[in-house]
Amino acid sequence: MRIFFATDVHGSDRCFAKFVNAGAFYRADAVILGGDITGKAVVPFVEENGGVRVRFLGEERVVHGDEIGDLEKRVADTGYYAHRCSPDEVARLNAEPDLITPIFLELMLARARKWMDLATERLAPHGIPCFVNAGNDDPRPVDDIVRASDYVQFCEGEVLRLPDGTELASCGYANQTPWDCPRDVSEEDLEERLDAVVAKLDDPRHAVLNFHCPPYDTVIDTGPVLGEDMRLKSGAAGVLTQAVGSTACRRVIERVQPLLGLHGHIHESRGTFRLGKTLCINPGSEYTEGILRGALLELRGGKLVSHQLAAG
Amino acid sequence: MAESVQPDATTTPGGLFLRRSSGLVREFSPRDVLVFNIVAFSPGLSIALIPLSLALTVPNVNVFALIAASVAFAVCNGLTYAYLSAAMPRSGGEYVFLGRSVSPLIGFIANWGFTWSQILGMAFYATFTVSFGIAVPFFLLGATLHNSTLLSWSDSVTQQWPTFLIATGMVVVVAVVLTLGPRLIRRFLNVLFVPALLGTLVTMYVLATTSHSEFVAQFNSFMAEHGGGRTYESVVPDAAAGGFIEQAHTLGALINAMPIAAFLFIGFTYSAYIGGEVKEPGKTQPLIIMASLAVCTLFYIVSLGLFYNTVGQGFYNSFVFLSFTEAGTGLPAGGSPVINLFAGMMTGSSVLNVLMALSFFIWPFILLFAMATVCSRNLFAWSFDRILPSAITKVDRRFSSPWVATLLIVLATEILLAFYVFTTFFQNITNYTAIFSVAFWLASFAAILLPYRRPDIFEAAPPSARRRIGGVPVMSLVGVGNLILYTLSLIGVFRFPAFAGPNGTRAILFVVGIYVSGLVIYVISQQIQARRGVDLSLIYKEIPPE
Repeated sequence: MRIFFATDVHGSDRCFAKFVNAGAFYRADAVILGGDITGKAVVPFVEENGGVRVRFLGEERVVHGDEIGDLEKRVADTGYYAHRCSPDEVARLNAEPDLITPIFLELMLARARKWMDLATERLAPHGIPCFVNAGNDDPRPVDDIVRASDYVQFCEGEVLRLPDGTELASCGYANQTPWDCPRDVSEEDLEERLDAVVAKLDDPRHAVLNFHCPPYDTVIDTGPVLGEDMRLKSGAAGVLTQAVGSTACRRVIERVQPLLGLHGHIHESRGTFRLGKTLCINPGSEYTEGILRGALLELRGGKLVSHQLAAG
Repeated sequence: MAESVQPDATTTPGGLFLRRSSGLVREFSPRDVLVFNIVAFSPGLSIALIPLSLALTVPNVNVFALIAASVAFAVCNGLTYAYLSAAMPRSGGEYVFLGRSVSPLIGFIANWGFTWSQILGMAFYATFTVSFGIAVPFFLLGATLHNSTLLSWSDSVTQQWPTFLIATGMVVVVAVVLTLGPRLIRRFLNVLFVPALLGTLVTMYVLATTSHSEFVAQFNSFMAEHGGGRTYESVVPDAAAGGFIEQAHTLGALINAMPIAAFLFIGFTYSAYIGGEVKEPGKTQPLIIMASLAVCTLFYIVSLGLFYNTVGQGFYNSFVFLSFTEAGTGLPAGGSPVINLFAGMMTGSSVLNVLMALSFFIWPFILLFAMATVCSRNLFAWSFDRILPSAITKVDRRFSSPWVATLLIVLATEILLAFYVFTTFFQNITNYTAIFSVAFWLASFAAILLPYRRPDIFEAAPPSARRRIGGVPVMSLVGVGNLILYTLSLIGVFRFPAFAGPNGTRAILFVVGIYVSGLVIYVISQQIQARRGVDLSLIYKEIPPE
């Protein structure tokens, strides 16, 4: 059985389209999306003189007609959400940023619905099962959208079966980050959640653990050191980095020793790491560039026969 | 009950509405970019190498014209890497840049060659540190303190076995520090950086506060005691009698000096790390990058200007010539004609000599860490991509250090170090500059071709990387500039063995051989992995989104 695993697409239309095509492209028997599926920013498209004024990637311009749709597509490919509005509305939103919250949520949910339809359209004809989880960045309402899909299977907190019967246990929560994301929790809380889903496994040693947060101090959890002002820090050795993964995740994997650990969360930390007998993989993410990083995994007879990192 | 999105939306100066999500960092401050670039530039090492290199290869080059030409190199090379990094900020290096825009095979070959240039460079710089960073300071301190032991040591350390053992010691220190983990590396380098920079500033102070006439008097006094009585006034005529011809500055000399121009600002591309998850690139960063280049250019102009003004360029060129002839300069082996020798003569202060000595030792020593780290990262990347065995990425549990990769790099360095010290391998076969110049030459194609072969990546890049002139991407134009400059550099490296390395058939075959061995390894890996069901061609093959 061949699995394709990707993660952290963060709202990128282009990356999700590649994800649902990856099944046929790589001849995979199943595709798994690890979490952090929602975008981080809304780009206002402010109505002006029959067109819209948009500031995107440092460029500000006024576009008209078909150009508006093209630019909305570029925004969506980068993982952001385009929002058409009047100058008055933008002024109100700038004055009271809390007002953007329901708009943000509706845009996220709309894109998630569109994605579930796309997954059904592209994967169902090939009979390739699709597993999608939420990550620590994803607000809870997104879960219902994925659950409502007729084809995509929502993973959070559950044990699901891959085509060859291998168990897939998932948890999209993460240890506390400086950004206090929707599913950031304490290490104690995280360990309870991980233990709860692992307790549902029939055969933990041959299971795949789809834990969004990578285990602590494993090369695949290396993130930058940040100052209090959230700036990157550097020294004579270059940009300063540190291990930012979860100690709870590490303890659980070391105890359970599953077949495979699939992780994401730290986009820069692409790689693999063996924790005892378990191979932990973080394919990384380059969603803003429209590049879908992923991992191809070959399982046979309860063993991991081969693995490969790819960037499509 | 469903919970709502965290209500802490904010706005950016660019007008985006952001929500709380991981990875949203602010880019480097202008001060950080400036310091980062200056550190990467290694000012002390540069002024240690450049005057000697020029005197040996193109003594009739106008140094300030060369610095200007170097700025052109730095701009082309720096922008090539800066634009590629802006387009692919989490990718890292020509391995991925070329892998995506040309092919994974070419990306690997370029990176393989570059990695070997770094390993060869580690062997070279370890011995360089002994010759110039230890022998010369021992000589100067021995002279200043009238200490015959130090004078004797300055001669001893330049012999084969002492050089090999001391250089080995340095390589072992690098291995130990890297094995003990990233935190120790950071602390080690942050601590060493301070005396290194301080010593460089002291050197510039000494050069600035010594007049030409004072230097002549100090030189004559020094040589009366330690140089067999040679005088300043005798150097130029003696060199002429020995066959050295002082020539006027020419354009031809400038063109011939292009390999050195390529070398002057090397390491300057490190500031291209943009980071962050929101691509709202600041307007100030590109300006600060250019400001960093301006600061480094000013440093060269001031330091080399001070040196040549105080010492005299004609005198220095002649002195270097004599030091490599049978007649010699009169100085012992520890008196190599590098800038710190003359700076040391200019002051009778042992404190200032110690500070300058530390600096000239630490800069090339620090470089060993940087080179080993780069090599380690490259090995990891190849291993993650299944081109090399996965055992290479083994990490020590206690210290989180890549001990297998470190061991391999250190073993290879040690073997090459032995070749360098005990054989004529480097002198006859290894053209170090050519080897890394080929990698930079190949990287040009990544910048030239990316907008055309991967328009999806190009169009998603920040505006600064997507500029066009006459419809042609600036990224491609700087890539062409980089290609031209490194073509000239490659032509030049084989013409000046004294700077770059040997230039005979064996040397050329060695360079070709390194890159061909990369091709062989990739093909073998491809076959092995194919039997395991792993297709290496999928590493960067784009999945169609339609």
